[in-house]
Amino acid sequence: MGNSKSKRLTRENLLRSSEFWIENIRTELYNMVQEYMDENDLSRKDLADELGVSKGYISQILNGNSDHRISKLASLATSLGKAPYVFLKDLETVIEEDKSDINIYIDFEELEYKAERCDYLDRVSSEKTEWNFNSLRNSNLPFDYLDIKATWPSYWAVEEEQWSSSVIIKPEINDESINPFEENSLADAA
Amino acid sequence: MPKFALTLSQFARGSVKVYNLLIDNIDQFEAFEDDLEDKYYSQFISFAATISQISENKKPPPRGKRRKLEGIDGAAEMRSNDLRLYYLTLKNHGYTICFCGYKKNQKKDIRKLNNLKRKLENQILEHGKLEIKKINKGKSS
Repeated sequence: MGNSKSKRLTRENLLRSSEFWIENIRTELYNMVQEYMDENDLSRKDLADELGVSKGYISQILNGNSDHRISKLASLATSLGKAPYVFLKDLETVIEEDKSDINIYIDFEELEYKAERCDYLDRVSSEKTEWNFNSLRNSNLPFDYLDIKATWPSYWAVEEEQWSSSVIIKPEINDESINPFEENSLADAA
Repeated sequence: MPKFALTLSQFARGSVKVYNLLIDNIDQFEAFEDDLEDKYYSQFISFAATISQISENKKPPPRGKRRKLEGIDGAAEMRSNDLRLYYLTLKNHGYTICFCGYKKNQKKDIRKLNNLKRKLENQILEHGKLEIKKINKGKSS
């Protein structure tokens, strides 16, 4: 989308704009750096010294004004002990999900937590269907796995019950034929 | 006396409610957009992106982008290079986007915000919670 204004900005056009995603990346970076500073009780100067960057550079990130070169971003991430993955999702899918009130923001911490829990699950059941997480765990399809995780919080209500290391997952979607643990089923649904 | 009401911002889809202020049924946020020059449009889009983040409780950078306005309780401004967006945190009303303006008019706009806040609070005192209007906004371009 170009930046010229021909009509009022809609939610859809907001999602089609690069500015929307730039702001999201800036916010993620800000939160990552701020969290690191809080955890380690560091000032901006302390952090700049530790990372070998200027204080101004840290200020740019904390002010949300940073526009990173890939090399600098990767360097920052690894210095903070983070691996900088890049995940690109189909924009039309995101827009359709947004129209269906599915949250388009990915909570990476929540996904990580749930992924860790998956590793401990042997059995999953719902009132109508049973899915085995082993098939997910043993899958050699990391991006499908990531996509499932990414859409999971929106599609599913998870209720933990402490019996035999299991979790009950209740479908919240209307189309019960959709099984997100089957390859491509979400893509077909979209 | 102008009549105030609210409408939910179309950019706010999360649990934190963000409203646009309506004055005599005119959406102040959209009115600003209508008169906005093209060269400032990307800054305006950044405001909309930040509204979306605030609604999702995503904690956008507090410094540089936003600041509380001293002397006006519950008032804050969102900042870009040339634009300002003024909003209030009114009790029981979530975030209320009052209006946008240009940086060059900042002082005047802050005075305007102060007056507006007084009038809003008077209306709430006299008539109770502000009406929340549902306005059908175009979903597609």
